Amino acid sequence: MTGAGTVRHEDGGPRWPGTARCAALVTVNFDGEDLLLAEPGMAGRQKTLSVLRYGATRGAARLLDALDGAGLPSTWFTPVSTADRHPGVVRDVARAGHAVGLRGRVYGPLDRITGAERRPLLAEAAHRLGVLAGGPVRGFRLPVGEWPLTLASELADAGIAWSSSWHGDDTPFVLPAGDGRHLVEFPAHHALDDRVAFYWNVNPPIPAGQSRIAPYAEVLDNWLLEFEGCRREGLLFVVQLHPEICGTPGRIGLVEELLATIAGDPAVWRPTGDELAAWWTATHPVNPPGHPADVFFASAEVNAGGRAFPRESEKP
Amino acid sequence: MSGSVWPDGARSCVALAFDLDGPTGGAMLDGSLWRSPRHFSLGGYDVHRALPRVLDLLDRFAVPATFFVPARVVEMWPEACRRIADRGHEVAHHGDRHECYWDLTVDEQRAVLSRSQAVFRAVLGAPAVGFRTPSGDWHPETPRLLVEHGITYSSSMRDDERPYRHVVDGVVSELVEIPARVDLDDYAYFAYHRDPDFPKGQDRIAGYRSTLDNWRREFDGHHRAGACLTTIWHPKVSATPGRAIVLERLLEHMTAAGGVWFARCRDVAAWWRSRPAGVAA
Repeated sequence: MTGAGTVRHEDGGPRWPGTARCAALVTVNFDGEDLLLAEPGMAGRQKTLSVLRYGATRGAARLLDALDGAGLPSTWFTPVSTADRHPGVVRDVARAGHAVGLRGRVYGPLDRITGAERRPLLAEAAHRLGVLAGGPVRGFRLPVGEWPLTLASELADAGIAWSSSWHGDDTPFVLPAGDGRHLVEFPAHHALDDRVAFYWNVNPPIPAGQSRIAPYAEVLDNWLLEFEGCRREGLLFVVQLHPEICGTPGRIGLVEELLATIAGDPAVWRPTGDELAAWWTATHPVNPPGHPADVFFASAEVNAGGRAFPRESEKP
Repeated sequence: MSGSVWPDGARSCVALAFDLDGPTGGAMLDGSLWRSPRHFSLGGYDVHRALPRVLDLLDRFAVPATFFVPARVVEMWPEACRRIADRGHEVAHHGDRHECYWDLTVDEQRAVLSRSQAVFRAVLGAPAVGFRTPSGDWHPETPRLLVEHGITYSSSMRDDERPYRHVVDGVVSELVEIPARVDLDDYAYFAYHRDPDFPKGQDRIAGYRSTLDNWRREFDGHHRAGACLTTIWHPKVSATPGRAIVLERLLEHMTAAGGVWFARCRDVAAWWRSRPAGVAA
């Protein structure tokens, strides 16, 4: 897969349009104070919450400027509770031409309630977020916890076309969503998440071991090496940014350098999430043999009777 | 150090080794894995995306390696695991579902070994001759059980930088140990996940270049000492697109040194066994 020409996917089809070598997707997780508010004992901790509120007061605008400077599209995933708390940010994001994606009704796990409870909750959340964003919401990112086995079908019912929540690949893949539908998944990796590198709080201790804030230059270097690897092999590069973490005067430079590298490379395809989902649906509706998602659902059914969507006979 | 202890007068030995754990381990053992697709996909990445990258890298440098693979991974991805052997590498035992031998009774250990050897015979055409303890410790009885199940070497201990023979039932046995070191375990640098959390304190992911520097120094030291270096690398951890570049640069460094015997663990063990017993290295 080196050299000029079309990059081929495992199924033999073109992985990206034309002669693009790789694809890059810039994503933003706008969780705000809701990142911690659902946890016990967090309400009223004004100092700790203000660290997260910074994303709305300053970080988002700075991050939007950086994206504008690089001329890159992005998707901002946000829980409805955060969007309701900061509707101005959501409006600014949409006005600047970026997509707004769903991150649940609140920042919390979705695997503690039943599918019957989730289905209407997600549909309502997607609708509400669409009202705030001024258009339909098509992308989704799971905040915390596990992916409930039937989630793809519930999201498809809510009008969601794609997700960026799993880890099992370096290219998009598809998840069965029932009734012949599927969701396109853009897997993301922890190594490309600014929160993993930089988030720190004294009390309560975050991260749990209060490890040192990572050296900025090393983190940028890691990101650029991952990008170089993606480019070499013709893969999908998904970066996760948080306005309260990297929309700061000291860290925005790292983001600008990364975005400039992506934007300045003519071999990189820089689609919106919707464009990438449409391309993948049209070109690779079936995963290559042995794909982790397919092996999971096959094994889950054999080992535990788990399925991605109900059998016909089990439908209500 | 006087003289070489390696074939053809090589100065040192490098037995590159990867633990291809896939989605085995705690969540598979307690069954929660089948409700955890996101977590499963971290493990699936091992075989689907990272393994082919590692095999290509090994081809490029024409060096062999050993892959310690739990039997369930062999069953779930038989084609991928056959490809490892077809390309000249070794596939060796790493538990059935990556169970910790320390947690098992003698009968349970026996069951894990015989089930895994049966899977290896059925899918790969031959039982494993090599063993690496999954998740840490083994029992005093384990070496004897390994011998009973046709295992001829282990790469589990941390107490030397050269192979040695295990003492089984008070006698120096044919079971060779190829000790590894945590300094060359990529979990200590790069592994990171949440729900369940690793590392427990959610420490940062190490700098790729500073890790490369550590590993170059480890190699340089082993090479100077005429030692045997083996790695505890996991494709899903060390063979992301960016970290594969780190491995590539390390292999460039190792192959440029000259005088290194690159070997599969089974060949290292056979060589060590062929040396006169009792002669100190």
